[in-house]
Amino acid sequence: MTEDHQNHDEREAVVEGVGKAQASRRRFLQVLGAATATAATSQADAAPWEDFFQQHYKRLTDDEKRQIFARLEAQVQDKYGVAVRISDPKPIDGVEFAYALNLQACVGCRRCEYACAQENNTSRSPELHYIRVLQMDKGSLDVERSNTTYEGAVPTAEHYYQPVQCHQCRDAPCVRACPVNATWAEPDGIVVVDYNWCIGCRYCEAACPYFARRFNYEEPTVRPSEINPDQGYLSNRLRPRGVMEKCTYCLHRTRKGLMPACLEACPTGSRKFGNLLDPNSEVRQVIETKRVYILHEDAGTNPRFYYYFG
Amino acid sequence: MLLVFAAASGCRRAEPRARRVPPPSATVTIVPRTPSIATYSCMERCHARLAPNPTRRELVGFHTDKRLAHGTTLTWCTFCHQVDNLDRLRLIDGSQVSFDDGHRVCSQCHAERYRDWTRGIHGVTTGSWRDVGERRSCLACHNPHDPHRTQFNALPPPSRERGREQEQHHD
Repeated sequence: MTEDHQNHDEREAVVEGVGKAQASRRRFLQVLGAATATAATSQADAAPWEDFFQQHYKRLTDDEKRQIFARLEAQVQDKYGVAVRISDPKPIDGVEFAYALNLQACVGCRRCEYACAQENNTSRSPELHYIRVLQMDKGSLDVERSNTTYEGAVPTAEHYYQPVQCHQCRDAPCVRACPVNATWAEPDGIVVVDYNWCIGCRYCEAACPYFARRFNYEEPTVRPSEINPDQGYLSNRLRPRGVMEKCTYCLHRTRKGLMPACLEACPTGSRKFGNLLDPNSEVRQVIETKRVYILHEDAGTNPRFYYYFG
Repeated sequence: MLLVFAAASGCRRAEPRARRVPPPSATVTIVPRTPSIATYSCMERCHARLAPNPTRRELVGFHTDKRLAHGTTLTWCTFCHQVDNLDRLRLIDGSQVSFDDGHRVCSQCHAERYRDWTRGIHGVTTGSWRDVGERRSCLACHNPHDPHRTQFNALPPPSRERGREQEQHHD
């Protein structure tokens, strides 16, 4: 046996050992958890244990997912008294989602922001919006000098408007920054977060050149009457405090063939969404025939979000 | 032979101009316009009982809210409305189209915009990106009588952004 092989075998033995140790530790804690759960009177008391020991989304079997979704639905029922349905639509083969936004048509009315908040159950207080509309000076592309707090009548003669949300980058800095793999790009290009795996370190927020990630500093508050009951596990289900969240192109809608909520709300038709791999899709038509502008192209993130003129 | 050719060319001439631009793809339906016109049908409601009057005049009593400020050529109703059948719109070549096909009237001048619209680059398409989406016609958003963009109020910025601005001022 060569030295290399020996090393390799040793390494494997070590890895196996670590795995066994972890497995036994996990079993121990699980037994402990189960014992506590049995001691506790209601099922709701057992939930924190199950929350704590829940595996990473990618390691879950379909059976485990069903159990987890049922538990999360029960938690929402307990806390808000609202019956929600948590689904997990899968990426569609041959589909890569992309967004195009017409800078000449957008009037900056912020209808998309509020439709997004409503659809995605984002916190109303503190107010958390995935989309940020920048009021830009005409003739300038300098986002640093943009205004995000404009009010009143729009559009003004001196400004144009540039809504910014998650760009679902092909080379996403947030994914690379995450120390625990709680965020990743799905096969259809959507960058998602496993809210139960996220440790809330906010490295991804710092890494994002579009300031597109949002952190729940406080317990998110949504009125029970305003909760959207159609929820996706990786998208708009109710988040706990201390986790990151972001735009997911409304994957619980778009993977079923629907348009994202922001697009449906836009009164100007400046938002275009579709399958980048379909040559007849609206986004492909935009990219092929219009002048397309990529925000922070120099950041090298290769986003799936395109601004265009006309 | 000559007759056949003449007949064929005659057919071609009768074909409305707007047809030459390909219609929107089959994956969208164009939302019909007539249900959203409050006073439709114009003929049944009033104009069947009124004699057609193509002369330019100041409108009194009815349609006084219509301000015609569309370019320099569209200066009178009959440019786009069929004078003897006001349920129909009129193309430059004299053929008639329904209000649901109002985009074909627009396409006669705004050919580039119309081409973009057929491709889904301009205009509103909602519903579905995969199956059959719903596309709004030009007239769903643009007022053909006075197409100038109007301002409206933006929704308020989220409190988080307002907080950020205050922080910046403190710096």
